[in-house]
Amino acid sequence: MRKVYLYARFQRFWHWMQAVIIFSLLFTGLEVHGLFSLMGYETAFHIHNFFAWGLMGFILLAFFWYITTGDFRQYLTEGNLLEKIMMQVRYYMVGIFRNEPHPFKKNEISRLNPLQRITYLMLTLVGLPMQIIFGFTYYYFNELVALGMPPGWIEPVALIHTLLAYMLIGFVIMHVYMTTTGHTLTSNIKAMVTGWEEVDE
Amino acid sequence: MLSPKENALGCVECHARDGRLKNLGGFYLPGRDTSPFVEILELIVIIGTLVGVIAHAVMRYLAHKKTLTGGAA
Ligand code: HEC
Repeated sequence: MRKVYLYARFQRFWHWMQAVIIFSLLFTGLEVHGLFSLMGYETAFHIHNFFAWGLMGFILLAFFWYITTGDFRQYLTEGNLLEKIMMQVRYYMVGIFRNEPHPFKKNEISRLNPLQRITYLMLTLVGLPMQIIFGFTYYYFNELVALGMPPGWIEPVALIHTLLAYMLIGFVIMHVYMTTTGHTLTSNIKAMVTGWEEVDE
Repeated sequence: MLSPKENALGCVECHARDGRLKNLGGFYLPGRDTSPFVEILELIVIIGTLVGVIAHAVMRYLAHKKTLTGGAA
C-alpha cells in the first residue's frame, strides 16, 4: 500500500460544495415538482433558486480554477479513449470479482481513470450546464415570454429539467457506490476528505 | 401570464396535485402536472441503478469471501 496526494484543497472544497448544493437542489426540486410537501412550496422554491445561483457561481469558479491551474488536463485522455473505457468497464464487470488489480494506476499526474474522465467531463460540460440553462429558463419564464418566447414552452422546459434531475439522482447513487471500489471500501472517500489516498502498489 | 408569484394565496393552493386549479386544463402547472412518460422512465432508471448496484455489491462480497476461504489468495 502506498499513499498519494490526489486532491488539492480547492478540489475537495468544490467537490463537497457541489455535493451539498446538488443534494439541496434535488431535495427542494422534488418538492416543487409536487412529490412531497415538507418545507412548504414557497420555501422550497426560494431555496431552490438560491442554490441554483450558488451552483452557477461555483461552476464558474471551478472552470476558472481548472483552466488557470492547468488541472483540466486530468480530464483529457491520450490514445484510444473507447478502448480504455472498455478496459475500465471490464474491470467493474469481471476483474473486480477476481481480485484483479485496477487497470489504471492512480498517481499525482493521473488521478482519474478513463471512465471517470468521460463521466465527469460530460457531467460538468453538458449535464449541469443544460440543467442550469433549463432551470433559469424556467425561473425567468415570464420575462422570457415578455421577450417573445412562446408560453407553451414551459412544459418541455419543465419536463427536461425534471428528466435531467432524475438522471442526476441515478448518477449520485452510482457515484456513491463507486466510491467503495477503491483500494479499500473507504479509501476513495477518505481521499476526498484529506486529499491523501491509499492506492494499490 | 397568469402567475401571481406574490399572492395572498399560498402557492400550494394552486401548485399541488389537487389544488384549486386541478381541473383547469390547457397549460403546464408546476407541482400539479407531471409527464407519465418522464416519471415512469425515471422510476425504471433509478430502481434499475439501485438494483444493479446492490447486485454488484452482493457479488463482490461473495467473490471476496471465496478468495478469503478458498486459500487461493
Ligand atoms: C392562483 C394560483 C397560483 C398561486 C397562488 C401561485 N401560482 Fe405559480 N403559477 C400559477 C399558474 C397558473 C402558473 C402558470 C403556468 C403556465 O404558464 O403554464 C404559475 C407558474 C409558476 C411558475 C413557473 C414559471 C413562471 O414564472 O411562470 C413558478 C416558478 C411559480 N408559479 C411559483 C409560484 C410560487 C413560488 C408561488 C407562491 C409564492 C405561486 N407560484 C403561487 C398559479 C399560481
